[in-house]
Amino acid sequence: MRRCNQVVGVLLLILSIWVVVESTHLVYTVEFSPGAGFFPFWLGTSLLILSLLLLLYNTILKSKEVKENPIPGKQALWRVFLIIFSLFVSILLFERIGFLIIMFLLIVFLLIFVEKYQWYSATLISVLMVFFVYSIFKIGLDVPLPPGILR
Amino acid sequence: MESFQSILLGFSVALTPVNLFYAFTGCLVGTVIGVLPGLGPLCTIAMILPVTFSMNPISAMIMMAAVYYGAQYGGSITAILLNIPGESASVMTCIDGYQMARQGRAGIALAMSAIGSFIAGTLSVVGLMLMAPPLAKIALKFGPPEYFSLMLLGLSTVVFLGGSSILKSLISIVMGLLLGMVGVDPVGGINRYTLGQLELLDGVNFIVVVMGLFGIGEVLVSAEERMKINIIKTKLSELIPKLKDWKESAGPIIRGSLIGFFLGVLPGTGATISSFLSYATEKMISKNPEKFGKGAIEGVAGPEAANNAAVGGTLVPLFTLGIPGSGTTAVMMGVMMMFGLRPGPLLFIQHPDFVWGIIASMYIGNVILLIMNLPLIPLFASILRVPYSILYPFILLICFTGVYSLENSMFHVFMMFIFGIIGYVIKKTDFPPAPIVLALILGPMVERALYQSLTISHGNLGILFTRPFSAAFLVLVFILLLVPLARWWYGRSKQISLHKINRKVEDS
Repeated sequence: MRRCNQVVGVLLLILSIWVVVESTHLVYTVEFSPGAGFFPFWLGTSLLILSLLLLLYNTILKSKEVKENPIPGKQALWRVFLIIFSLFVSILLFERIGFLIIMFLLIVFLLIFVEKYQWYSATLISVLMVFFVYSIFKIGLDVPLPPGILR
Repeated sequence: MESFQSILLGFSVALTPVNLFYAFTGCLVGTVIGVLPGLGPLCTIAMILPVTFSMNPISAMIMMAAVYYGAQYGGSITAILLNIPGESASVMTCIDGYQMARQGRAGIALAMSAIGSFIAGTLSVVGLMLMAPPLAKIALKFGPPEYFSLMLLGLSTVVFLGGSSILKSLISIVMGLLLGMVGVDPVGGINRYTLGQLELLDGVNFIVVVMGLFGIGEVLVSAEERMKINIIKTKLSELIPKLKDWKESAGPIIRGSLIGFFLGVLPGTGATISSFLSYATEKMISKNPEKFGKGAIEGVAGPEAANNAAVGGTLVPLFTLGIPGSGTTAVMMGVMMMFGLRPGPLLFIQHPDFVWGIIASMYIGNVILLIMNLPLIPLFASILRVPYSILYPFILLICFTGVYSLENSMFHVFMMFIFGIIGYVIKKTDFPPAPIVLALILGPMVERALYQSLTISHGNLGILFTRPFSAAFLVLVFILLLVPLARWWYGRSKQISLHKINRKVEDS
């Protein structure tokens, strides 16, 4: 856990520096009151101090936080990667290929490659799921879902 | 008399067939989704959000409130049958509820939990009805300095009670406040942190954040391992508690209701803390404290009543002050603002049908929940048998489509994806996610309140300390922030004295 906290601490530190630097380009105060840069500056500074404290606590002071290692095993990490990857590809192709096909493919992919379902049960579950959601959003709520290649 | 007339107005709104339908649907959906392990009220509300966009505000809020208390009850089913708390407020129910299930008394535990929730829910609605109008009248006297200090107090309580690490809770709050800074600033109309994206001019949409952190993030955490659910095999047929069970549960239900409601009213506390406190109280005053942890019905009835009563309690600051006390109420507040309604004391004057309609619908919702839950307990238990491998693709599908339907924009979907990954990381590293949502919604309000306060006082910060209510809230903030320091100092001095004693022993 300590190593993860250190990594998060460094990332937060970088973010806070960026926030503070950006805030200096904004107006700090207007006549009587804070300007657009006032809050971001102090929030960025607070985040900077907090991330330094997090780093300090997890390096020099050696936190006594007894927690299991949050990084999962190889297999679990692979599952998470597959889900993230399939979601990312779906986002890229959603409007081009269309809701029905891309969502069907996303669910089929997850069921077959991540959950090891047989292709026929994966297909059936995906069709039912996609049509259920399609009927709620497109037919029930009249949301314009992209038809893509089915146009 | 005034309250009586108002509640009659509320019932005339809540009893329309459309609103009754939404209250019923909300209870059903809330319980069904709340039953599933890992999906608490916030996640349930996040999933239901896109459906409410096309509704009128009253029906949408009635459905959302019903989902809230339905999900709260659903969590107890998982706790009793699986020993997995559906959400943090059900942790205490696991202890004795699961033991009761192992002893073949799952039916009675579930029934008592439903009855306790019903009584507590009803009492908390009465509390809300009695407490909200006078509080709203006081709040009408509040100006920007009081609101600024009050919001600071709300955020401080969340930090204090947020999670295992106060430092991490603080970081979550600051992150949420920073997200709230994105977009056009409320003072001079200058773009901040928009990265050149037009979609960010209106700020970061809280629905996108909620769906990402609580929908996608939760899926990624849960999907790490193939979840195998082992439901305890027990009789669910015996659902009517015996006279002995009633006698043992009556006191805990009443005490739990009071604890839940009053703690729920305080910003930042709510269901989880009240269920912990209720359990501790029951154990403390019990003649047989050794029974606790071995299937004591008081250990189920008290905390369940407390976490349901807290729902009514958390709505008090939301309706009267316009300040959400928890992540869930923050989302509800965001939805109200989306419909153009500003939560706060003026809501009682400008939209009495809205406020009283929701309060009345909560009475009705509690009855629906009881009628629905007792006979349907076996059905809800069977939902637990739906494998998570089917469930999470469905959650992904709903989140994806729901966020797209916001503005038919892939930018929002992409942002949800990013927040999903952030949600996964922060959950793995033990940062509490709910304060992020709370701070995101409160952030611009805090900034505006400070801006208005300083404009009134011509730049003098003293205005925050010279007005009695504002000063009182700030003193409380100060005390709250001192507590962790005092705790740290006390722990350190204890360690030093222990060390000295050890050395003396070694020397001798």
